[in-house]
Amino acid sequence: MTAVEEVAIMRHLDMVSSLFWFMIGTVYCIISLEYGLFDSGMPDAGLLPLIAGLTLTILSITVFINAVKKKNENLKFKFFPEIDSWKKVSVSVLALITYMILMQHLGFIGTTFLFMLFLLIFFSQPRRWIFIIVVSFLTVVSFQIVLVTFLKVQLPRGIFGM
Amino acid sequence: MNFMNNLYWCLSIATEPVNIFVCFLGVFIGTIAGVLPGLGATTCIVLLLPATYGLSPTSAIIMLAGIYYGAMYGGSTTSILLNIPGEGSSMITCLDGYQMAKQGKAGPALSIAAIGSFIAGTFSVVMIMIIGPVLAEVALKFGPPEIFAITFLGMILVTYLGRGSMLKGLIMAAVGLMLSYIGTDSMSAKERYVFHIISLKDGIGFLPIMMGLFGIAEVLSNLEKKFTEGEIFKTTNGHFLPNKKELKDSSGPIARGTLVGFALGLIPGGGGILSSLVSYTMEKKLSKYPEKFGTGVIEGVAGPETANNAGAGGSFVPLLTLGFPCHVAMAALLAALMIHGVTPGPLLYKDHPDMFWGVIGSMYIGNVLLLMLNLPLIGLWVKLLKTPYLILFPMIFLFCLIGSYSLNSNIFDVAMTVLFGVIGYLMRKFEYEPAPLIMALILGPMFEVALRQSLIMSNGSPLIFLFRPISSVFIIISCILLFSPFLLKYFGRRRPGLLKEGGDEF
Amino acid sequence: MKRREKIFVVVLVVSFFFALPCFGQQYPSKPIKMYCTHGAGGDTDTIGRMLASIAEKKLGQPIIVENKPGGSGAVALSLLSSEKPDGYTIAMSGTAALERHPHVSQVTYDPRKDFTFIVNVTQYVSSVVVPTNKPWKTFKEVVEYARANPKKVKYSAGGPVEMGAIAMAYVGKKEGLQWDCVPYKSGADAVMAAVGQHVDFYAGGGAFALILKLIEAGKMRVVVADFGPKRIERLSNVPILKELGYDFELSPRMGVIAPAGISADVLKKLEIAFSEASQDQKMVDLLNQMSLPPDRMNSAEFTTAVLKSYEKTGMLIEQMGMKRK
Repeated sequence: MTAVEEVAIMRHLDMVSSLFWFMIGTVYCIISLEYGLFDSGMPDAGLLPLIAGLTLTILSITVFINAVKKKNENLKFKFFPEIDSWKKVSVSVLALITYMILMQHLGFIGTTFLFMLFLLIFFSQPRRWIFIIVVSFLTVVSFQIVLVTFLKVQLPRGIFGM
Repeated sequence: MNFMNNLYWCLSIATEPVNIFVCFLGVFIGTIAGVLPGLGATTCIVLLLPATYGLSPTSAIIMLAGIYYGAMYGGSTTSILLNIPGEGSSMITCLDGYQMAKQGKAGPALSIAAIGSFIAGTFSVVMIMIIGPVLAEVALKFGPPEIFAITFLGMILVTYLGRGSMLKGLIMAAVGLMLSYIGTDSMSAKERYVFHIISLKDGIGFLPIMMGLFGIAEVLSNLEKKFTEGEIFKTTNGHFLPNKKELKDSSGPIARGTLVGFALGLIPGGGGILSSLVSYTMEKKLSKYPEKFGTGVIEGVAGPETANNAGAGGSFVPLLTLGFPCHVAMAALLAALMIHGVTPGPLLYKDHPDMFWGVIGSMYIGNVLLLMLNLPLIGLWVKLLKTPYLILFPMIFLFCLIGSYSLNSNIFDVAMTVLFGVIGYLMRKFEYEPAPLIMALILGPMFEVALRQSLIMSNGSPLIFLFRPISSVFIIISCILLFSPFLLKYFGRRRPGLLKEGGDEF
Repeated sequence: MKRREKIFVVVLVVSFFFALPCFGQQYPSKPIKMYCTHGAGGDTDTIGRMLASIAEKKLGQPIIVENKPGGSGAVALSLLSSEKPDGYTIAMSGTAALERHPHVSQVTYDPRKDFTFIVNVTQYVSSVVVPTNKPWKTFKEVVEYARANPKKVKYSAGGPVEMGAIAMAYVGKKEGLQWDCVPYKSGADAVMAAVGQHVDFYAGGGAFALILKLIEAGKMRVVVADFGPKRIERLSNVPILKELGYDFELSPRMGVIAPAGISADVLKKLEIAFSEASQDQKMVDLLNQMSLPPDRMNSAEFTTAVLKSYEKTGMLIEQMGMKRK
């Protein structure tokens, strides 16, 4: 990417992000007013949040203005460097969320095993099944030994009592 | 106090075979606890307490204290290798440490961290022995105005953390502050931004956010690139120890970090994270090439790691000399002491001298053991890095997920980690750095509480900060730092590296 | 026919074995979960774990302690109130979350309806301590000084609605004083603030062990010992708040509770087990070390005490102007 392209990308990105921060800052400030600003001369619960929110709002406006001022050339920007990368990322996030939800029902051992299995299957080419299963199994076992047996950390037990 | 006499006494207790053994056990467990993100020294101390019932009180405390500073050593490991801070105070080490690892210099980074930690640890033990009670008195002098002044300085230093645009760094800091106010206001008992979600009553802990922003976000970013079954990390150059130049470059930061870290570690609650922040920004300002900070300079690892270990030693001072725990892990140690029949107080060194000196002596031994333990481990860690990313990345995810769960056995924390993982990933795309956010998140509550407490003390007058000697010093330093960019601009001299793209971008 | 009879017998025997677990299913027949309202290393956790380790031997099943910190007990209590009242989920709880917090913030439980109180183990001792270099030797002197110097006296407490804050607000109102509370994050921090002389005195229920050590070392002087109904053994020459003329009688306690609706015999079993556990020598020693006086109450007494406290605290908090709802 040339320097010019880089700047153009930055400009678009900055405009989007600064608008986002602006909205967050404004909403935050409005809510902070509910908590009271002053209580018999002393700062109340809402004062410092208001200041923080205002700071964000003002800063986001500054970034926005800076972004607009940059010399513009309408170039497309690549948000994702590889063709399939958005798929990889979303699948991973999905896996994380599923782990989180299943963890309480299936217990630590079961969920971890499935998690490893799933990610290894999805991401490996070519798929070596024995390798995948063995690695998943070993991961679960080692985590179990170190965390539960050795350090006695409390991890959820699912319906199978695992 | 007769120094040599005390030194002899504490070493003779600490070198009893039982005590060396339990000390080793403690620091070993502590190292693991420090390496695993989320799992902290405090939890380990409490969970392993029953295992100490058969030991004498002194031995028990030696082991449990070992867990604490073992964790301080271990925390830097994941920071450097995986960009996940193992402990809050190790976050700063991520900035340059991880970059060094990516360039194949993980070995030198880890060893400098261990060496610096050893020097700092030894220094703080010596200081505790010599002027322990004096330090306690000094620590007491830090009241709300002083804490406010220091955190104010900290907030300003936060903006120096990033490599990129200072403006964006400030935005991150503002967001961090805003996040820190979620929860129950400890001054008025009002709930802010809680919206009736019980798990938000105490706010969002910084550990889940940190694991999300650093750990998960990093992995998500890496997943975008192509990897077959190869590695993300360059192979190391083979040497695990720092070369001559690196040692020389680190000597200054280590020396300064030790002093700064120990001094700040005395502040209740300030300790580790402030020490490392101040050290990092100090090294950046003093360096001949500040713009290189954040790309993998050894000074960025040597200083902060030393500082946070020096701070850790300081945390023991209030507990041993006054009986006051200034840190959650110290509270756990306090409980352990009570279960073993000892209640610490200002007269601990009189009532239980063998415990007092035994613990201090074991800190010497512990530091030596940790150095001996960690240096060879570096070879192991570096080898682990060579694991194909295919296997490594799910494990990193698991570390983060399980780490957050282990904090409070609450699925909400895990949800926060995942949420901030996604947010962190997006942030990286839009070129925002997570470090200032976390820093503000941690300093924010201290800052606000100290401010409001001070104003109650002064009946609303802000002049209290200038009337008290310690706080006024810090306020003045802060103001100088705050206005220095403007002053320098007006007086001509250009400092490269602190501004990103010259001109209109501040 | 022999074969059919054989099969019949086998089926009978097998189903008998399957039915057997349903008979004499004595409580407890599986491990018991005990939530702890506070985090690892704290008072509630330390006492809870010790208690559990003793009681589990009496009950014959392991008691697993799970820390569920948050909202000073709100999280754990919320979880507990929605658990099945089968005796397999209980909690070790400080009573602050039951008596105080519902008046100040929104909680999902009602202490009057959602819990069964099993036994009380101990209480927190509240005190008023001043740094030794202050001239005051009695609480009256402090009050008089505050009256003569309005807006000058500041005291520290472990939180905005902690025992100390509530009690001193009550005294302040009764005596017409203008003094302010500087809230701290914990009792220990607040006590240290007084030692460091950032405030004039400390009032409250936390860190009593620390306070005793500080008194012993000559760094602090105690002017009131306990806001409860009777004097503390260790400081028997120090008056309680009530004796000084203030109609104030509140003690934060710590005990074992369970969801509402437990059957009577399960309750009895738990009551006996934990009662005996709290009298065990190890427990007594630990409480002694932590300077927490034993305050044993059985289920009925505990229930009455909590409900009474709940009402009284509600009135006081309303007077302070801090009541939410």
